Amino acid sequence: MKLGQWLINKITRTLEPELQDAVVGDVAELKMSDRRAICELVGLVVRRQAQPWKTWRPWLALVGIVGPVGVLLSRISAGVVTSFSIQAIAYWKYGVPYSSGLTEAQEIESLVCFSLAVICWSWVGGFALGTLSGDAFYVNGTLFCLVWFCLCGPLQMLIYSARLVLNALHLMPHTALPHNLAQFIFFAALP
Amino acid sequence: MLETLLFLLPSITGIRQARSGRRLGMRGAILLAFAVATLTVLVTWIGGWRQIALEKWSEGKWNPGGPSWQERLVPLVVVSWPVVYLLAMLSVQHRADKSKPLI
Repeated sequence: MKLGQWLINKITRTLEPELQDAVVGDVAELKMSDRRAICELVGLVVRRQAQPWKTWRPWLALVGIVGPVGVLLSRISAGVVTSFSIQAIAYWKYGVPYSSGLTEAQEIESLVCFSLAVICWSWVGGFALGTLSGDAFYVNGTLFCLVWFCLCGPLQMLIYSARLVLNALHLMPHTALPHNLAQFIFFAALP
Repeated sequence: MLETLLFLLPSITGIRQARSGRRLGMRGAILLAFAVATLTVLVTWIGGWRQIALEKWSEGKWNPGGPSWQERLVPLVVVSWPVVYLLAMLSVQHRADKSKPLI
């Protein structure tokens, strides 16, 4: 199959199922060149994706949930995971809890409470995002997952690991690992 | 791994439930709001424990500083706002349903 036809098929599949046949039929009927057909289809997809953004709800989801809630939840959950990891490593290596001034019971209470809170906030944030986004859900959902991916998901882990290796090889000054957005951007921008 | 369990999985579950058209009843929304409010207050309170413990341990000689409870509460209020929105939307819907004529 030619690249142009393959692209046309892929773009058509992003449309609603009831629209796909009509669009394929129109393209065949008008005997357009592949390039023209691709341009027209991309225009149609963009116009259809822009349609739901004419109301205020997807914007509220983007500005109110994807941005602040996504970033803050990423930071809070990264903090909880760090505390949990410190305790787990101390137990595993030395058989004692890491003492930060709290009793063992308080440490457990604080970890359980923070974990439950993050789960609860995340579910509510996701539910509100799904409710508010409507047909703009694909854009907002992707951005929300991207926030997680960059701030506390695999990308953040990769940067942490890279810095650990570079520190171990004395290729970087021994500074605290990046934990907030400003540090994250600063270290990510280092050559 | 743990970040996925704490953040990504619950978010995706919430998004999927909203997309599948699941509706929170008024009672469910109130319970959810109550749970979120309780956890927010608990996290704000517990967040200050470490500071107090270190101050106590040093017999008041060392105050490690750190954010006040108001400063700790602000980001938690921001992450909790979606529940306020859900509650507000449901109460508006509830009122509209009540004011509909029966016949």
